[in-house]
Amino acid sequence: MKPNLKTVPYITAILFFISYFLFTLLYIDPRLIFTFNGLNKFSFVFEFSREYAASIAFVPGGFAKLCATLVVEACEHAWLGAFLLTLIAGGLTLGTAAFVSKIRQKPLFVLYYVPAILFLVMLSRYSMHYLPAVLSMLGSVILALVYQRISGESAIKRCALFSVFFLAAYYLFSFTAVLFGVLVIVHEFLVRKNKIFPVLYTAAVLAVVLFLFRLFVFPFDRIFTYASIVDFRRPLLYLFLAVPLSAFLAGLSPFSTVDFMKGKKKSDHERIAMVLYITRGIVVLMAVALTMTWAARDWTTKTLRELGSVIYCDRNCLWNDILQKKHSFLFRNSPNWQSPTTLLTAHALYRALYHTGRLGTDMLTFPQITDPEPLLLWKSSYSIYFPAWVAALESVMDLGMENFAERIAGEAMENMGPLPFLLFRRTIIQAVKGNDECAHVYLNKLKQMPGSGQIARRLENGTGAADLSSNPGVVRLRSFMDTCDYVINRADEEKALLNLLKSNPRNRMAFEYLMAYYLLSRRPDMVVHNLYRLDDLGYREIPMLYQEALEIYRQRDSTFNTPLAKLASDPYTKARCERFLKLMQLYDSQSRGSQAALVSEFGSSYFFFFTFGYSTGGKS
Amino acid sequence: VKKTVLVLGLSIVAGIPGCGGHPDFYAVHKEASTADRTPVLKPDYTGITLPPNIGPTNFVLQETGVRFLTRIAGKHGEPITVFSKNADVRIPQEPWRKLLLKNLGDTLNVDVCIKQSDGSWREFRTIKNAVSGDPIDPYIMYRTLSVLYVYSRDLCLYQRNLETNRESEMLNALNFFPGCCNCHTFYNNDPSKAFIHIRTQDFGNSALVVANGTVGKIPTKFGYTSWHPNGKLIVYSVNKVDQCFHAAWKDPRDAFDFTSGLKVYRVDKQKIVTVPQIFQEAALETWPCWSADGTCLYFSSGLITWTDFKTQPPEHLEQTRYSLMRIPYDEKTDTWGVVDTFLSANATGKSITQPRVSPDGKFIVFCMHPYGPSPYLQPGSDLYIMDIATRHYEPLALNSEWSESWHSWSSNSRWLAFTSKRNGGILGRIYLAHIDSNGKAAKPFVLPQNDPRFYDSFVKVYNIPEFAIARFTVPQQALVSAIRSYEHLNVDVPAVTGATPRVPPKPE
Repeated sequence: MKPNLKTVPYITAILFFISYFLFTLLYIDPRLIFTFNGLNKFSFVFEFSREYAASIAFVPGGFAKLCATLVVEACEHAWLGAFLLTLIAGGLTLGTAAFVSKIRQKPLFVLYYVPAILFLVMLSRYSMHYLPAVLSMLGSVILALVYQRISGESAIKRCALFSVFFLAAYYLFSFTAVLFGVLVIVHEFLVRKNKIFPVLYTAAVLAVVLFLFRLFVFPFDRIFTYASIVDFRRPLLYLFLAVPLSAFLAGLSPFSTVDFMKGKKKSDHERIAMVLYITRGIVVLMAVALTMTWAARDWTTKTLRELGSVIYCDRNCLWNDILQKKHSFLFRNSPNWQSPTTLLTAHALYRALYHTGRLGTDMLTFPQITDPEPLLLWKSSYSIYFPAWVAALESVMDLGMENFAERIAGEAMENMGPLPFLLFRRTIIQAVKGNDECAHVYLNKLKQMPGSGQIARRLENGTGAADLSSNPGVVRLRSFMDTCDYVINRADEEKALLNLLKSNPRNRMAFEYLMAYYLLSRRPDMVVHNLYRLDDLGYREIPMLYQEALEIYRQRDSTFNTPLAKLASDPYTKARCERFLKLMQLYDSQSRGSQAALVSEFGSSYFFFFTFGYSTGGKS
Repeated sequence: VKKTVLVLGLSIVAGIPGCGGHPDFYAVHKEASTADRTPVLKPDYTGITLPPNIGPTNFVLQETGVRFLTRIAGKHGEPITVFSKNADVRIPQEPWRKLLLKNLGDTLNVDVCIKQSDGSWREFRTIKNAVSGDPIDPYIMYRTLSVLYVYSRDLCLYQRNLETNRESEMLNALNFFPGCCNCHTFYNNDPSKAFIHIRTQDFGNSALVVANGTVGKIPTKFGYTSWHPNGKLIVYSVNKVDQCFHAAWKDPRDAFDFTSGLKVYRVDKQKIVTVPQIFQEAALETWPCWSADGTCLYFSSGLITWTDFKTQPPEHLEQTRYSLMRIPYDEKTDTWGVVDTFLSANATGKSITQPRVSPDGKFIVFCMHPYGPSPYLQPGSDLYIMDIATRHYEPLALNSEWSESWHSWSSNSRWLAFTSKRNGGILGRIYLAHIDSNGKAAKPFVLPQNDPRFYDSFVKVYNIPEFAIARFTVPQQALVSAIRSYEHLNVDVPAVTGATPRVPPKPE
């Protein structure tokens, strides 16, 4: 039975877009697109307010911006995001296919997928600031398609239609209207040939109108505000979309299949042409495959995904997910806090370990170096690195450093836009500080965001709308809040944490972070001097790493007999310490195998970390 | 079909609040039970003194009910009745304007009746607001920005027609992002002569001088400025400002000047002049303000008590208090006199900053706050008024427990605009208050908005309100072009600019 060649493109399309959907859903993960919103300087925030409606309705390209915002917001739900992104890719493919097939018969169908593939590359890099441009292009293609279908032969009708559509395209998609113009001219050039001139004249007049519009009608700031969203100055955009699309639409005649599919006996010339055709097809397919592989396997992408995933889990308190992730590739050589992803991963790990009650015991089961920066991101939060702001905000809020949190939240909101999670945190901060009226302003703003009403209601339900201050969560945070004033600029992590404990000695998180700070700074003496706090905080036993620090301190000062917590240290720790010292003697005498034994037995102990300045984590 | 459409259309129109008519106020008044209090309004427009030319003071009734009937009436003129299903009271513009004008110097009564869910009506006590005979300047210019700390993005200068509540953009900092538009000053409240300070990363720091519709650019740093009444002289401050953060303050920020001083820009000669008396090495001169007749300059001055210019904030910052100073100036001979301490910080125990002399020359209003030069960041900042002739000063009756600062006089010296953070301590809003001929302030009220719920979700702050007698007519494009342009006024700028600390830091 002969296969029906006509159905091949359809089957291919169905298979392709099912794969596309699954790849987007499972590998790219639209929730990460939502998480990255605002983190890369471009934010998409939708709100139900007059100001927002005005910023959409009275700005050229506002429609494209609105659509992009809705798509990004929808990405909060993975399946919906994947569906919409696949729909956009499908629109790009089918729209261009329909447009091209009208001007060139049967072009190589594989080429239709190029825009969709390039869009996938963009998605895999979470570069969503291109999304309004992509949607504008899709819109322009659709408008061009409509023009193609209904323009007819009359020059007046064509010019009128072109003018109306062009102005509509400008209003909806801003400068992407130029693409619509180009498509129409290409169409006119290939289909109408010498009847193109009226449309060309119209295009020239419209170009002047557009120029005058920009100069006089829309003020400077509107244009620039929009340009910051749809940035056509970036060559990457042309590389990814504009160039292949334009070349494709211009009608690459060698790719046309019209000469080869007639089914007649082929001459030598035709056979050569057929071979060439197949070769080109294979090259294109390979290019597509390579692009997909590159999109999926590229190191940068993988790191970005890991970063997005860590931020997502951290923001949503998915502690076990953070601890169970395979972070080993991040620490491949050694932990290097210069890498933002490693820094933020370590930060999230500390937070997850604290919230699962393991910070004092399992901190060194992950690779560490003697730098406490990831604990609070103290220095990083002063740099212009948005993910660090967001991560630090979570920790310092939990700890009770509300003013520090307010500073970070303020910086973040100014630069990332009024994202709902920032508004939520600012509401909490102001409520914790007792600035109820101000908290309500942030809360009311939050209520204008789609999907945030539930969070806002939950915040109010505990207490009634009038008094956020008595919300149980707010009350709990307030009990930890800094009440001892100091100038943050002059302080370091140690001073900040000690002040928190001065404000409330029962602030368990501040205590554990302080101990982690001392451990990471290789200051076992300070660990020991703070062990007395364990009683007040209700510990049943001394956490393992503190015990190891205590043994180290005892080794250095044999006369040490400071009254410690009522809790006793485990004799097993002392035995381990002695074993470590024996192995160290072997190591010092360069005995064979001693290093491997040290790493395998003590790689995640404080003995090892204190001696060598790093921990190997679970690695042997 | 036509009939159905007509009936449907009429039904819809009748259903729109206000279009279907409203119950007769007196009929409701007769049947309503009386509440023994005035209704709660948000914003609080009760017991205030209104300018006769202010736009509608729309508000939300913070009361529960299913129908809201509000009647605003004076002794003269047509009363205004607003009937709505929700608690928003939006007052129509034209009847409001007429009502105010007919009741100059008299009282406006606001009566509110609210229909309860059981169908009964409840009437509240009458709110009485005075209508002043003193008009307010028709325009006010101000800046809005987010509660931000180091990195700014969304700053904008606006002008607002106080008679219509219409706001329009003057200059949006996104046009020269990353950048910031700072203080703006007008010559005798006349926006045809203006001065706007700009900081940008890509186009440099500059000051825009607007005069007679043209915009000039001076490529140097300007701080707080004050025009001499003759319009030929501008005194400005040069500040090396920095900020720090407190762990447990209500407002986390604190700002201070490492160094500061005052300089003079001769508009007529396009020349910057340094006057030694107001640019002293050990002093921190700032916040200049000319007297109404131009014979003396008021300013704030503190002493530099630190030698380390790198530690942030400097040591003993909390002990730095600014006194109110005065220096005579002779316009004819262009000579400066000797600086005199007009009000000493030692006497008040507080910092005295942001002096603003009333245009009639009678009063001076300033901020008093615990320390430093930044009243807008200190909850303890209050506005004080001083009778210049007697030097008697007292707090204005418009203060709150939060920061009051950035005040501006109307051209007739009867209205004061200022920024207050009284609604929660963080978000500054502009308030207007009447000041009578004895320097007594009436209860202030927040700048009216067309949307009565506007402030409920507005997460930005207002600052630097400046009254203006007319609209600022220079288009934004012209300002932006000047900022982005490499051309500038040929101003003779001294080699040592304000950006350079005059006391060199200690070597490490």
